[in-house]
Order: sequence, then structure tokens, then C-alpha cells
Amino acid sequence: MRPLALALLMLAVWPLEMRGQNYSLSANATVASSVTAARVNDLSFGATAIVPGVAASVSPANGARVRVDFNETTTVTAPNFIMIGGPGGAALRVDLVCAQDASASATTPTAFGAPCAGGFIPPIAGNVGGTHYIYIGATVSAAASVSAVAGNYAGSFSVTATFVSY
Amino acid sequence: MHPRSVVVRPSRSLAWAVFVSILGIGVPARAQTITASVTTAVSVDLALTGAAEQNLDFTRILPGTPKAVVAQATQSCTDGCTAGRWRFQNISKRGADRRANLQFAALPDSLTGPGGAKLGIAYNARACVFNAATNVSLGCVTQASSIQGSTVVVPINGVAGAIGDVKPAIARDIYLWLGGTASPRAGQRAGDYTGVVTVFFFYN
Repeated sequence: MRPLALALLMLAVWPLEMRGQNYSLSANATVASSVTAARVNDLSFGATAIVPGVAASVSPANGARVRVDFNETTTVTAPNFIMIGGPGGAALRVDLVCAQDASASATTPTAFGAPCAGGFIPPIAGNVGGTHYIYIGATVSAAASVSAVAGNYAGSFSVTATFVSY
Repeated sequence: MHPRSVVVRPSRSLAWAVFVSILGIGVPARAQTITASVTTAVSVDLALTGAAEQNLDFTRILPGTPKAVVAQATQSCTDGCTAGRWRFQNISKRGADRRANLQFAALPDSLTGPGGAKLGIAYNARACVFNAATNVSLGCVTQASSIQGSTVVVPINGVAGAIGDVKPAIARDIYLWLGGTASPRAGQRAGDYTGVVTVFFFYN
């Protein structure tokens, strides 16, 4: 029994060294957001005056254009309408119509699936983001212009890109 | 019929044992005390322990701008201490364990981010042997380009260049740092990227 007991004792106290073992950690990085929106064209109804009581419109392809560069999922929005100022503080309602295209010179950009305020999310896939163009047309309804004071009207609006900031 | 006599004889070895014992019983000429010092040298290796102590973190990087993280030469660092770090304690003192091998069993050449986007990474590594008692670096091994399957080989016992192989043996730790360069493309998709790095430790 003694040799057996000694062997058991030796086994009990012998260092059980691990001769090969895996050790894991994580490698991490955060790529910063890079989203910009830049005006390419303004929106103009042209040199021909709007006739009061007669609707006038500019198609998105011929309206304002905004370039959006993005590297993550981004929602681009514009207001559904704006009020632009005229002579003596007069105001004229202008309804906006939004469309989008990957090309800077699309003749038939694709209309947003929702009003401008509903926004559009440019597609993104793969390792990098991209560039997309937002086209904004406008309409002055007959009702809006019927009592408008004659003169020049001007205003501004913002195209907004919303994203998670990294 | 004569009764049979049986003679029991001690075995020869027993007889020798008795003889030697008798010879060994001496009568001391005078009282004396004899003290003998016996040195016992036993080297017991403690079990290897290892741990991944810190993740490799490139933190925030800009699209199109590469960013490097240094695999430190010492335990101090100058770039925010974001290199990956492993610590292996109780390195073997056995002569048969000539080298400690730190093999990158998993070392992804890209990290995975949002939507499965890939971020390219190149790695480098440095392993340093430390005196466990003093925490002083005894020497390092550098791997300029680390790829999956590559091994950082640290000579530790009984081979040329063995680091910290002294007599009497000392307790040693090995730190392994993993640095690298992240190379985001222009327009690289924003978000968090991650990957798993695995080191396989073995002796040979």
C-alpha cells in the first residue's frame, strides 16, 4: 500500500501545467461618421412671373439639387412646404416635392416614397458609403397665389441629413 | 526408521545482513555529535497561467486615414496604451522547454463592422520576458508582420539567446503585445468594427 499511497500523493501535489492553451481578446475600431450635404442648385420658378390664381410648378429634375455624401445610414429630409417672403412682408406658400437619384444629372429622378418630411435613406452596402443627390421641385397652388401681392418673393429651406454620430 | 532431522538454515542474504549489522555497531571511543548538512535542490514549476488582459483598440478612426497602435517594448506606452496585451506567468524553467511559442491561431486581416463591412488591419507583435520579482524586462522578441498562423518564438531555456535563463533560475513572465495599423478606405462605412484574436501558447 505504501508505494500506491506515495504515487497518489505525488499525483496530488504535482503541478498540473497546461502545456498548450488558447487565449483570446478582441480587436476593435470605430470608424467616425462622415456625412455632408451640399447645395448644387437653388430652386427657382424662372423669369416668367406667376399669374395669381394659376398654379405654377417646377419639376424636381429642374428644381433644387443637393449632394449628400455619407458613410452610414442617413435619413435625408426637407420640409413639405415653406413660406417665402415678398413685398411688404407678404408671404407665399410653396409646396415642395422631393426626388432622389445617384446621378447628379438625372432627368427623371425617383420621387420619395413619402412627402419630403418623411425622408429618404440613400442605399448603402459593402465597405464604403456613397454619394446621392436629392432633387426638390415646387408648386405654388392657385389658391396660394390668387391673392398674392405682386413682386419678388424669396426664402430658404434646409435639407437635413440625420444619422447616428460615431 | 530414524527420525528425520530438519535443519533450518538462515538464508545467505539474511546472514550477510546480520553480519554487516554486527560490524556496524561500534562502540564510540568518546561521546560526539556529528552534524551533517544536506542541501536539497528541488525545482518545482508552477503551472503556467495566462490571460488576455487588454483588447487591441484602434479607438476612433477617420475614413481614409490609417491609424497605428504600437506594440510596446515595455509596460509603459505612449499612444494611449491600446495595444492588445496578454500575460503569461510561471514560465517553465525546465530545460526541455526551450522555447515559448506564441502562435496567432486567429488573427483576422479585417475587422467586421455594420452590415458586414470590412476594415483592413495589419498587425505586429512584441513579446518581452520580465523578471517576475522585479518586473524588469529581460529582453524582447519582435515580429514585424504578424499574420494568422505566425508564431512569436521566445527562447527561454538552454538555447542560444534564451532570455532570463540564469542560475539559480528566476521566475519569469512573458507579456505579449499586439499592435497594428487599421486602414479605413475613403468613405469607409461608419460604425463599430470588431474581431477576435486568439493566441495559442505552447513550449517546444
